[in-house]
Amino acid sequence: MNSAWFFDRSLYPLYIAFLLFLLNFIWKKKRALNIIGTIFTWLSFLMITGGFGLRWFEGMEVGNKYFPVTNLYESLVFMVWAVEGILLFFKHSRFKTDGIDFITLIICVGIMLWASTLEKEIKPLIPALQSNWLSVHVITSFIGYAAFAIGFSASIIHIIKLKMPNFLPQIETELFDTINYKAVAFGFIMLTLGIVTGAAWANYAWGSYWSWDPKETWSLITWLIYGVFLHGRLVAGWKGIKTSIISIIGFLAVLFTYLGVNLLLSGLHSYGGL
Amino acid sequence: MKGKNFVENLWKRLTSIKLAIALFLIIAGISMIGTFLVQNRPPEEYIRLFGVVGYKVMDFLGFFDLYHSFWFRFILLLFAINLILCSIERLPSLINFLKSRPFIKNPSAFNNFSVHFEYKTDEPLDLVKKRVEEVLKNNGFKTYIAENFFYGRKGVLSRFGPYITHLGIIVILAGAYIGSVSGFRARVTLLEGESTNMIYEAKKITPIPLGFVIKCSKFVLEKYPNTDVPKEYISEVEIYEDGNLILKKNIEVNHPLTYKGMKFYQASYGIAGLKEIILSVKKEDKYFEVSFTSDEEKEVDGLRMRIERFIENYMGIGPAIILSISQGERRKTIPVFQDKRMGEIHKGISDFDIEIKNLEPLYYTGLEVTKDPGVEVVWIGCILGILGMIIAFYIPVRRVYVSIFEEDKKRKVMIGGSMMKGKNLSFVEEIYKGLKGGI
Repeated sequence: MNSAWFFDRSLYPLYIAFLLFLLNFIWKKKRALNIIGTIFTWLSFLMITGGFGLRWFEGMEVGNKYFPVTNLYESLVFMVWAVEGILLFFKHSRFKTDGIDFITLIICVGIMLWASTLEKEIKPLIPALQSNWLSVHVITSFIGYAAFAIGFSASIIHIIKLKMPNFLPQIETELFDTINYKAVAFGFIMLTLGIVTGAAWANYAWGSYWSWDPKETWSLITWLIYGVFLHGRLVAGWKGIKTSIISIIGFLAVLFTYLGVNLLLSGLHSYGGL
Repeated sequence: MKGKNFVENLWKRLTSIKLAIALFLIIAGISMIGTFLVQNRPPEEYIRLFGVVGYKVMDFLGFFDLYHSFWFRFILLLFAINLILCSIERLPSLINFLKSRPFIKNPSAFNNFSVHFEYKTDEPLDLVKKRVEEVLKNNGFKTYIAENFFYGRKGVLSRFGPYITHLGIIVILAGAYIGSVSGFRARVTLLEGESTNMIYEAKKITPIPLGFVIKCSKFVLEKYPNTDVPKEYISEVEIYEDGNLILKKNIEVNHPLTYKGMKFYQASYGIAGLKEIILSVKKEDKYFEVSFTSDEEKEVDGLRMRIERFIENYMGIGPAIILSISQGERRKTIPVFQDKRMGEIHKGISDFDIEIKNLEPLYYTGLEVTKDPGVEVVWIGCILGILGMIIAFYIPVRRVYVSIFEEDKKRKVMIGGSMMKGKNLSFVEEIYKGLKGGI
């Protein structure tokens, strides 16, 4: 039983939670489904948590002392962990997350399925990746991405709800707007921290905190899009469809920053497949 | 009059949220172009893509170094101006908020609050007033009093959040500007044992004098045990001033050396030649070890040997030396690989076997030297930016209003509260309970 074993198997409770939330969504207001779904989300979350703890130890055996978020596989699993964590936070807050939960979890399932096809072996870290700034950079960035994923799910449901008012009668439309804002505001702080710690790392490793590398540039683009969201909502008073669409565009920019840049463009981030 | 209108108009435009949002999108758009059109490539590549005329036009417009083009800088400047002016524009409303004492003197106005409470008491007015003041204070509200009316507020700092963040962004831009004006980025390559007091900036011929001497005493390439994965590149350097050793330090990736405002980063390395090589020679049951430190000729038991050269990767197999051997009139030149498994390549061609026992390459190290007096400024800006966001998003501004009215010879206490950036109005109930609980 190694860390990858835990990561792989965290997919099963994730599937079950997804199905329960979906059923809850279709049948409407089945409290029990929501509660059991939450328990399974917790189960998946804890399995990944344990997996990361274990993986840290496994990494030490090959001489890596840093938190294991140093390649594509680990970062994808970490993102699932963060999305689940933020969803659970909302579940235990006063916000209702009906509808958001199953969209969020289908994203998690997708990421996890993809991750399971990747190279899982723990490899010794090349010198550039041996940095505490790197760990903090990856952790903050991915928590930010995860929050944006929640904002994206809320936006989708929000738009559906606005177009079809009878769709989810038990929930106020405004709630999705609020969750979208809360998630984006938190994600924005995390993304900013991610960019800043990334800059600090680059400054230690290459002597330049900003070099317009495609990944950096795309993180800035993402930051600017969510900047438009926040100013539009807080200053210009935008709501509803407008903010939801920006949130969706923002999340597409997140996906491009995270994946598109590596697949289509080249730059400093190309090592580690990250 | 016309002039005044123009100024007013310009001011309105420069301080509008529309311009701010447009600038966000323009900066994002230009940045996007720069990621798809690879920047700073040699002209030939661009000419192949766009033709000579296309290349000249685009080059003139700065398309191949977008992020340093005059107009991108102009847009960033406009962004900074917009940010500053917007902050100034919104200052009066902040001052108004800080100065305002919106006491509620009309009992029916309390109905406008989504959460409001009231109770009646026989207690004398002074006692009630004292209690209200105390309860508000205990709940952390800064309280203002006029006659029988109370106004308390909490979390005012939140209103400063956007200003702190925007100040942070201006500071970051200023730091970046300082760096681009008075900083530099240079390279220096040193052989082990070599030293220099000059560095060269990319694409520039005149060197920058360091004002001290930097020496690379040794370069170490550390690998993970039983693998070929590099674990650490270490340049052991020494700094001399006026011939005196000032400092010894190891420069590693992620661990630069800072000296006199300059930073030295481990950037590259390579093998320039050999420091020492020990060959083991087996000749008819006799065994010798021969050490070379230069291309001198060595003789062992009538066998004359000289190292012609060292090849880092010979025939794609690995590091090897080219050795010329002569014995009497017989003479031949053979490759000897560092990897002993490659021994069979030259085995059997002679009545002696030669293996490399120890090969110590002479490394060179490539150091990136930067000076950026703006970098600390940038970090301060980043900290301000993040701090401001946390303050703005997570400190709610709470306002509470308490008014005491005389009614039927009793004191009627009315409580209402409101909150910016949040809907959790439970604090109003808490104050109500605090007031009533005291009776």
